Amino acid sequence: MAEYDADVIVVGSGVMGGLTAYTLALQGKSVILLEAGPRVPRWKTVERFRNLVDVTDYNAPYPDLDYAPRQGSVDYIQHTGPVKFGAGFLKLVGGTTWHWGGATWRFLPHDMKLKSTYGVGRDFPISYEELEPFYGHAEREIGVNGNSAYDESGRNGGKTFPPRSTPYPMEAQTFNYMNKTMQQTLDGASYWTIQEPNCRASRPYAERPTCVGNNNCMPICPIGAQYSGDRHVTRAEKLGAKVIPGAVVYKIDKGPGGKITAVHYLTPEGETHQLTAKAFVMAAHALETPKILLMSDVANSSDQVGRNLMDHLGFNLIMTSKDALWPGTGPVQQNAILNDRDGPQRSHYASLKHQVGNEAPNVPVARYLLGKGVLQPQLDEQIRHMSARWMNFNTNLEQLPDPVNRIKLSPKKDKLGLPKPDVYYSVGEYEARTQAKVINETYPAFQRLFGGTVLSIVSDWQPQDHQMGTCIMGDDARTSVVDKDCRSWDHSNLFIMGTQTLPASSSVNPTLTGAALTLRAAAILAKEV
Amino acid sequence: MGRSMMKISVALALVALSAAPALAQDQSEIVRGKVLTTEGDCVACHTAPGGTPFAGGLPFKTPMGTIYSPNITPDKDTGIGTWTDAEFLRALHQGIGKNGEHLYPAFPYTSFAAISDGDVAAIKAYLFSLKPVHQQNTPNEMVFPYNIRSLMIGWNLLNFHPETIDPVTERGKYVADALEHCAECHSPRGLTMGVESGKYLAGATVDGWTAYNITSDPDHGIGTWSVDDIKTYLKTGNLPGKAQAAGPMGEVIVNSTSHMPDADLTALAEYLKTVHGQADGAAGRSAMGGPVGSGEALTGYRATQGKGASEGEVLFTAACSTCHGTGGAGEGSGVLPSLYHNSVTGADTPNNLALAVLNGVKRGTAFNDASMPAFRDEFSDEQVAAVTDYVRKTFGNAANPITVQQVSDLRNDVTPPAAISVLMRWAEIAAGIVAVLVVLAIVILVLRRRRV
Amino acid sequence: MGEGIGRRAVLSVTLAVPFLASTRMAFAQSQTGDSAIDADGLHRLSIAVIGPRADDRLLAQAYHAAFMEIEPSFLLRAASLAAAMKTQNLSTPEAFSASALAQDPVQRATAVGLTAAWYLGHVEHDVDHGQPVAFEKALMWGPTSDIMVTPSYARGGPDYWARQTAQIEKG
Repeated sequence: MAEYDADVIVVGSGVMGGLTAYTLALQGKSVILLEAGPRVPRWKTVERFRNLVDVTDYNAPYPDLDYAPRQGSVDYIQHTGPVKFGAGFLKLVGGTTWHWGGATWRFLPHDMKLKSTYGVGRDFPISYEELEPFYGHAEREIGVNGNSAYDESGRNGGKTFPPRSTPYPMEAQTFNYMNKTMQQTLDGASYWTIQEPNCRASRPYAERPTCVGNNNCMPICPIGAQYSGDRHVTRAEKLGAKVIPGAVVYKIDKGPGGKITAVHYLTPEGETHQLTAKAFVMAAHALETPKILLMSDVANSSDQVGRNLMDHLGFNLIMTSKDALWPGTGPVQQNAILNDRDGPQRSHYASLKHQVGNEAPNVPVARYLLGKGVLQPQLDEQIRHMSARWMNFNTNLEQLPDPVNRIKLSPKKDKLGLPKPDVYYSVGEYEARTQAKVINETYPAFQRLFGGTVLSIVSDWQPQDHQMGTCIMGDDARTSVVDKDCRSWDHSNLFIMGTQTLPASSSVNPTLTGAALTLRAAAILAKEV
Repeated sequence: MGRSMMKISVALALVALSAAPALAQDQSEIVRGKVLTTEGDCVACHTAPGGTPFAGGLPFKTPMGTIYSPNITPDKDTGIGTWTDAEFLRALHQGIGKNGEHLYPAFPYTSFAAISDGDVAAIKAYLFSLKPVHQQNTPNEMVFPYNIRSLMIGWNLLNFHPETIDPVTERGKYVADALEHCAECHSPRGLTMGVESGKYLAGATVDGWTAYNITSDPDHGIGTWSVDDIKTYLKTGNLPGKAQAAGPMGEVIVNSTSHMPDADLTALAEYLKTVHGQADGAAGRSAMGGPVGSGEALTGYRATQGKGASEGEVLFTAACSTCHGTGGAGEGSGVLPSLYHNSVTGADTPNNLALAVLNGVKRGTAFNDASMPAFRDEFSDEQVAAVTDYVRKTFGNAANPITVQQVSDLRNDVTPPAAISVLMRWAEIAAGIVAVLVVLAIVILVLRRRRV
Repeated sequence: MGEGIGRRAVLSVTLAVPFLASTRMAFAQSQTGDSAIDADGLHRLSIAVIGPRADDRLLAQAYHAAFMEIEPSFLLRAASLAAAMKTQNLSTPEAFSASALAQDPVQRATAVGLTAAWYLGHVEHDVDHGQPVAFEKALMWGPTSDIMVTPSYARGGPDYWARQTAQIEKG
């Protein structure tokens, strides 16, 4: 009988767990991947989506099971803070990247040295330069398209920034009419608009067909042109990795010398199992990873496990433009306005990203008009008129890490008898001040530029499902959970992979940064087992 | 720059000047060779999946063992860098290798024998202009007795009847038979596995795929296709309302015919229109079916609520209808093709559709980028069978429903996608053995009589 | 992102759709002798209120079944509207909207409820709960379908969206 059940056990089968398992399996390591949720084929999710009452609820097509509750599950997260934390996560093989806009940004060098540059937040323990090759690696694994010549700092310096040693693996997708037209107007007013790098295939890439713009990146790319975490899970399986769906991890065992020795999981029926390995990887999302660590009293000598919870704070301007711009053709998001992404103002104001959504707006438009009692023969014409002019500006704002924002174990228990997560979440002055400035200054400018009629300014904080910080990375064991290699300060054979390790959130989507750190750490781990 | 350096520069310039005409001539020979090499689609078989073009290594799996295509870059150790012009010509015209060994007919010398000597020289000039790639050939893994190459002598006696085609006056036939070697896949094989006389281009099965009847028969072949239709298909792989290419033919189009000079494409198309019509295969395969009308089209509701929906309907609605439309109309450009008026659903064999479902389609040319996801990881054999039958029954030809076993065979015996799988004529080789034995028997008999 | 942009935006701008308004009044009317409308009647009423795009018998049957499941009394109100329109010889949306009947709050709410079902593709209790009937065939997509996508369905090959400029600028 073998000494261990596997060389490495990975908890969580999302993009980070999948990349880890794939990297290890490629080097001949034996890997077991534990996933709390079930395995669901793409077609089934598409079919469930088309049979929803509310097709704008991006979670609804995905399984919500009593042993594996997802985002939006009734009474799962216990909210205790002043702001409701609508944490976004799915539980199924492939994880939360089944529904995402596919944005795959790099952080800027300053994003990673926020404290030393601007005196706020925290620094990464790793520099952009050191991470840069792994950004390229992550872009190739995930299959990213983008424009390698862009200045992504938003300052329109006219040259590639941040620096890159390798080009985007695929050429940028073309803009649709709305984006082209909007870009002219915004650029003319010095709101520099660029194409957002994203993981839709702009040509056949690995197993994926070319994107044909079905405008459904969220909640499900119906053809798999957009990357989702199941891709690397499947690849890892073909290399011999074993995936166990319906495995709800509830306990991690510590042994001599601070080594982790085993994980325990429950099946949906409540059976318990134990697995041993040389090393362990926690990649169970920014909410469940700290929950499992807290339940096991593992990796928490710093008392930072579960703390520093961050998301991008989202708010919206919804209006109709004077001229028809026609959203609703091509992928759901293509552009980004990044003027305030970086600069000295970050000492006082959060980094910002604005984006104009490209979703076909027929559902809100039809509901709006029907709610006003509009009937045929006017209804069709009004749907057309309003849909063609629909503009949904979505702003993402950087949140600073604050130890009071945290996940704890609730006394309430779920169906398997495991504690539910108790989340205290609040928003600080730094962020609130930035939102006020945007609503008072930037939104009126956008409105003027497009001759807009405002329908709504949604100023309550909207979850962007970009949770970060709950297993924070640093260069001091007393104030952080993992080092720059994603290795637990307390347990040399425990790694934590994913955006929960990020010590600063920037204003851009964090998955690519999580993936770059993961690939770097997985390569280190592969040499040790 | 010092004086001595300048002298050298001047000398070099003079050398370059004097060499210029010769270089230009070589260059045009290489360009001509490149066109011919593309028309012969050498790259398809001589490239491993993900490998360097022309460096070989593509496996041809057969029940008698596996053959690996060789490196044909000009590397002196592992490629054909030391081959003389005569040796290269002998290989293409007689199927004999550098050391006199007989080549297996996976290499279509049976067709290439008709390529003119001048064209063969140009192909060699092009191949020798490539960067040499040092990549050892993978030894073939043939089981006895098929590992005895001299058996090919017998096979050749039975099946190798090289013809002469004038590359100028018979241009279309030359392109079809000598260069593109269409008949290697599209002509059926008879009992001895030689091309059935009188069934030229009447359709055949190659490694799971049906190579359709492309004779001029208006019902069973492509007689209703205009010259422009044929050219469009060969150039883009996409003839809206009639046919779209996938699998090996998609590869032929991507690698070869989409790059063909227009004059050759026209000659080829005009020639195909003259090929004697054959009534093999389904009648009207590219005109079958029609859109499913509004009242009958499935809503998602009907499919998932199980209101009499079969598994095939449910899968069609959830997966296929996304691109091909709930009514099967696709979109006008044919990049996302209609499922009716489509030779794959209208054919009387289900295998090409099942293979497209299993393996997807990747057919990128300069004219369009057609790609369909592979469903092999998502659908079970039963599901592939259900959706294949549903689509054929609803939009095309319901004949010969596919079995789960057939799907399983197609899934597991999948040939390397880059291969233009020339039929491995093992039965012919067996016939060759018999022929050799017969010859031996006759010789022995003769010898005995002499003794008497 | 899960509960993000789309849903919150929808909820922020949209009003309650009066699928089920005036149920009590409808019930009161039913006492006056109207019987519930049948599927064919609902089909005819749908064409009269919405127009030819609602001429789909299969879908009309499905909406009928959905109303029966979610709010059977709607079928009484629909019968009442159908009867009134027949009496006044109103058989097109143009005629109905120009008539005094369309100003009657109960009858108008019935027309809106029926229209909402066909346009949104379902009959709902509220934004989260109801009975789905159609997605691709929901009528809300039609007015933009010459340019926009019906989400999740393809309307062209790669980059079709970059080739729409001329069509859009033509109007």
